[in-house]
Amino acid sequence: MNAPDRYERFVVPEGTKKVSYERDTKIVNAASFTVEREDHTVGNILRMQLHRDPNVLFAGYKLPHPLQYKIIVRIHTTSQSSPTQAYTQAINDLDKELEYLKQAFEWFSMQEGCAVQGKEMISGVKLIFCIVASCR
Amino acid sequence: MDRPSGTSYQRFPRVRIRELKDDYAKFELRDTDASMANALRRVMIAEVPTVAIDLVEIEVNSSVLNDEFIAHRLGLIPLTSAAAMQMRFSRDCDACDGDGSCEYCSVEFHLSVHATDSDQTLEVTSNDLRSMDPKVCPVDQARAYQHALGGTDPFGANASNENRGILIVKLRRGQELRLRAIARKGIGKDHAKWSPAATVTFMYEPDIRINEELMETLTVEERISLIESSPTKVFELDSANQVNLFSLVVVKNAEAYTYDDEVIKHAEAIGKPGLVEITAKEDSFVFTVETTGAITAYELIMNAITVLRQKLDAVRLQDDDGDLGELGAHLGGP
Ligand SMILES: [Zn+2]
Repeated sequence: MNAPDRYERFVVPEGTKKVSYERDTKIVNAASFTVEREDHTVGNILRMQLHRDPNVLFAGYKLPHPLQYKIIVRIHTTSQSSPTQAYTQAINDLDKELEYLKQAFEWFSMQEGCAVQGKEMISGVKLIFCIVASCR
Repeated sequence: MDRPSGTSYQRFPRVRIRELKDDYAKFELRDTDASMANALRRVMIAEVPTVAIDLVEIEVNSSVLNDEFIAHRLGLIPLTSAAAMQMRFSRDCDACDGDGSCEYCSVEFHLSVHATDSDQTLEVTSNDLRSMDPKVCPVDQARAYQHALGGTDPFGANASNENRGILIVKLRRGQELRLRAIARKGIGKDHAKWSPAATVTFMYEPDIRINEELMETLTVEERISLIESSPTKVFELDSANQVNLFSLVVVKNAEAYTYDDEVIKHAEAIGKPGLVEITAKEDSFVFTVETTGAITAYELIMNAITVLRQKLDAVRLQDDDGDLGELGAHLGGP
């Protein structure tokens, strides 16, 4: 009867911001990003990508409560960077990685359809040559 | 901005598809980390959209199952969902005012079965569902159709020869079931009936190293008992045709290892610690993907990548908060 709608788990309510940014009051170059209606899927890849950035001194995320459908990503950087810059960079890099991954799958399956089945091929630059060579 | 544009720390994952069937895929993913592998797994299970029956209007039901029981069973029938990525969610469809009954966001189904004079129990199955949109129908109907067209059956040799559909309810003489159902786009996070995944798993590729020097100190019997200490067939003796004093223990199938530590414990028990060392490669995964048939395994992988990119795009900082944040950081700096 008074059960909340199931979609409340993944639909951002009207008037709520998907991402909000709050700068740390005590530490320079530290901030928390509250991301509404996201969970470990996005939180964990963001955190791990931020760890690849040498200007990031700290990056972590938490899911404050299983019934609060949001995550908090906390970033602390050196003075060479800023939390917003690191955050944006991490998203850009993840997006590029996924685009590359998508192409890798496309290349591989295309090559599979050609007459080189059973032959070990690793996707990537070598494969472009392979497609050209095998598909006509 | 005066700041130099950020350096990229992007990775370039490698992929090798080992097996690809319509509803099954096995592939290797390398040069990325567990967070990415797990994000893909989670998206495949819970966030790749499909179409499933969501609203049922029962006109007549004199079967032994109650209305909501039947409605639930109808929801769980996998429907062909190749078009789901392009469909709209009913809740943000403006063509039907969130009513959820227009062609952009829904598909209508009808079912009407009456057990008349038959003395036998009549089975109502997914084959009795009549779709108003040929693109969306129960998966085994689509499979039978493909088979009838003379195509090869990608799901298995004799599956469609005996396509009996998915059982919904059994009717006795005189009983009737008549209903109208609306199928809508949804995701597994909302309800598992929308999940296109039957299984999605990944494992770390094991890195097994055998200390050859220590191994030489073992007798053939000790080597055989070491091989047999592993519950799965990970190791074997080198000389396949003939076992002799010099037969070495080699890795037969590294992926059969279940990280059970049995061989390592065995090596310690016989006083040879370090005889076998097994670690998980942190950047190499073997995925197994099985779908319900709603979409193909390949579509599931590709759609998962697309959905994950959409999710990342949605969490980008908007111009206003980004610039204000930067400005705030400058002003607040020492
Ligand atoms: Zn609509």
